[in-house]
Amino acid sequence: MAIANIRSHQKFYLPFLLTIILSAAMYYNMCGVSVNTVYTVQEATAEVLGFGVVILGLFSVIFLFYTNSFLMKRRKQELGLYHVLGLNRRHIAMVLAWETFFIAAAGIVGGLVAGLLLDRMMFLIILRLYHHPINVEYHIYPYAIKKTLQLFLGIFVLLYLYDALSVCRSSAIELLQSGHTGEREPKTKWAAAIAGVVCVGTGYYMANTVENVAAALTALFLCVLLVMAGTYCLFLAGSVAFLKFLKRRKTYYYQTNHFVAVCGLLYRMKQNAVGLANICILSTGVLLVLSTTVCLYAGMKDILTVRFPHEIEILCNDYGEEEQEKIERAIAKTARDGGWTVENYRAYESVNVSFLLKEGELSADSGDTLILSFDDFASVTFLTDQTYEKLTGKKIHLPKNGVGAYHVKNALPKTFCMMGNEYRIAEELDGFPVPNKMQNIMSNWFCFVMRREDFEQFFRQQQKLYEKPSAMELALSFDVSGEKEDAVAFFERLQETCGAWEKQPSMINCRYVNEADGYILYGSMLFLGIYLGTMFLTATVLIIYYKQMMEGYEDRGRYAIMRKVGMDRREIRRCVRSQILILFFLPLGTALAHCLAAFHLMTRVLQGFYMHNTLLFAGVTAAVAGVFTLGYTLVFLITSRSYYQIVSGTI
Amino acid sequence: MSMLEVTHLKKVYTTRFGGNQIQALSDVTFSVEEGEYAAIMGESGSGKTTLLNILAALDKPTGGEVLLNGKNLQTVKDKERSAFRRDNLGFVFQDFNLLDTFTVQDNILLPLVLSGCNYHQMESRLQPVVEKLGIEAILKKYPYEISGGQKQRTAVARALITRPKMILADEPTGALDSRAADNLTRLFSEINAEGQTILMVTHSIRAASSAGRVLFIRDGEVFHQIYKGSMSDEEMFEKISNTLTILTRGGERRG
Repeated sequence: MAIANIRSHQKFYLPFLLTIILSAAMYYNMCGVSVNTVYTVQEATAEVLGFGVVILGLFSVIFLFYTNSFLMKRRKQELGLYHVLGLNRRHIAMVLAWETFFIAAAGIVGGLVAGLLLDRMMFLIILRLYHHPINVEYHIYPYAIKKTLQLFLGIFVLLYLYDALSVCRSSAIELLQSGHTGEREPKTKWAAAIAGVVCVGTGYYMANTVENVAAALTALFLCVLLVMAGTYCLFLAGSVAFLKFLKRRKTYYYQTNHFVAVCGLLYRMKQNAVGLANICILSTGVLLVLSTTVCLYAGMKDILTVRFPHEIEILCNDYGEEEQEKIERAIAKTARDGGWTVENYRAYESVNVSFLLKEGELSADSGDTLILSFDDFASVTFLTDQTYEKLTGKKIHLPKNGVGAYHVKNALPKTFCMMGNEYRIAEELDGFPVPNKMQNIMSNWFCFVMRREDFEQFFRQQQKLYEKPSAMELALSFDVSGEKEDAVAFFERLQETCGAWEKQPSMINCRYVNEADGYILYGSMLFLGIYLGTMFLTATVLIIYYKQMMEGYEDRGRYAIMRKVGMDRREIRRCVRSQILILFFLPLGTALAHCLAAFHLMTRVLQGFYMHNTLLFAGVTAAVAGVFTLGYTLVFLITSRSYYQIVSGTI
Repeated sequence: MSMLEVTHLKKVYTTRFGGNQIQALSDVTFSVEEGEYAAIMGESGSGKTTLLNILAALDKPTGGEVLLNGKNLQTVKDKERSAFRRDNLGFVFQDFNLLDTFTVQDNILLPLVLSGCNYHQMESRLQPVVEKLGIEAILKKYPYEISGGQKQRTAVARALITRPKMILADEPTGALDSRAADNLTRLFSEINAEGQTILMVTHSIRAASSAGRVLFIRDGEVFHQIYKGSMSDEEMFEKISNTLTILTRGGERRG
């Protein structure tokens, strides 16, 4: 009987089964990937992938419950009939149990098989993304199988308990009529509509006014919450308000296709709204996740040139002249031994100090103040006038206690106080040869040039006042002649040489080594992006499908009446199309609007990853949105066809 | 010429696998004149509903023809058929067939909206119909908020608003309590007095006794008919029940 039931409802069970298979397969793969040492070369990657496993698991739970609720709504009527026909609750519970069992078994086994097949493909994809030549081996992960089984069996037990309880608790009559309970016409909730507008508006405003990365990261979270809440409110209340407005415009409302569509939508708006808001939010998620991760991955080269202007960079803290000579000798020796030449050599000393910024006064950050916001801090990079001249070739004449300042904007007055001493901005510079370390993250970052004497005095004072004083940082950077491999070889030899020293440089970076690491990190992020994107997308597709099916059955009777009153097939098709168009464009349009609004914010967030190429991001976003819209349209065309078939079925 | 002419109408249903054939109508011939109020009576299974479906062009006959105003419904194309039905026929159903997504007013206006009227025309037509039926007060309500009698009056209003040539009513009193049913029959008589042609299929002797003529159908044929002439409703009631008794006893065909 259970099997017969499933078969007779295959229109509903088939997509449900597919959902299970897909989510099980994806979960299995994700688990497998996250424990495979080949992929997780880096700790960060392991973390990114581990995070993916958790998200995917959570999502599977929510999603299966959601689709199950659709199924149950449909099934209740039939179960009620069994009840009337004399099956007692225990029998019904048994039937349900068998059904759940078959579905679960088929879904999980199918999912694992699909997962095993997919595994090989995934392996190849990942390695391509990583730019990592590794031998392809075929693995079966017992750990992943175990975890998948645990999760999905758990889900099904819960689903079964939930279904059985909800069926047993309600009486037969309730079950029989559950398909027919109509919703009351929704009241316009102005408060909610306004709250929605305010939420979305604030979110949009915040997203478009953030200045720097640190603010962007905090804002991102808040914006996502605000816009999500706002979207729900807007869809719930705003759409009702909008439809009522349409209804009041008599000349628009009393036209054949609008008439039926507007009323049909209004009637079911409460139920529609949540579904539409879900679709909208999921779509936005897909778009944002995919565009950012694709962009990061595609912009790897740009990121690296911003991050590492030279092929090799050596940073040393508190080096004296002797030590500096020693490392310069080491560089020269390495070059000589390998037959390379060092190009674009640059060396400078700088100090980077972080201050508390209050009313135009810079004071020492003692570390015990409560952090209010990033805007209360300022990060300042200091150079001496000699270094400045050496790096830029421009001479700068400064008086005593005078500074040449860059990027101060209006944050400091002409004469300002720094750690108790008075300084004057003698010259405003419109560029600076070295970057401020925090310029991607904070909005208050300045660069100062000082006379050597002032600089030294300041440095000593700083060492006294701070618990953890900033070091004098010597930065050496240069390119190596020849190919990429030459630079990497140079880097490795230099690392070896310096590794034996008593006082080692604090950091040696090579652009290409970082590039490889970057590919692995960003590759895993992209992989995760695609993965979650696919999951969200599947969810969207299934929600649309189930919605259309459910509504098709509900609307069937209504269209039958309309046909009796005198509506022909062509008109019905037109009405259906008009109704579907609204359902179609509302969430998609809103999702695209959200993405547009988030664009500014996302560029700032990407800057945190040293990604400054806005044009690339715009292109990637547009491409992702285009592909998404195409897929979305396709799904809608298919589902609306089956909707129409259902609706016209009885006529 | 008659408003409606039905000649040798025949309808055979074939079961899905082509095995059994069920004859719903074998040979029905009758006509309805303009301005007439006719009722069709018969036991369940006598083919009443089939007949009405064919008259409404919702179903196709196996043989014979139906002429409405001299036009053969079967030759009209599907596309034009709904428009034809919309413009020439008004329907009142037993289970009202109101759409619960629409307010009472919108339900009444539905056929006009479907035929693409402009709003001013709709409003001017709505007013007199609604007044006549006494449902002005509930125009903004939804079908699930009003009583059965009000629902049926809404359905009548929907049927009348297109100013159809003929109203087809299928057991209009079937789902109503006796008071609401009496109100409705009175309403039908009033509408008919204003010149509206009505053809009603019914079980109820009370409802039928208000009609000007009653046709009895048995085994897919018109078995008998009674003209009201100058009889009062009570006399008509008496006569119908007598006929029905004979009908159920299987009396010989006469008339």
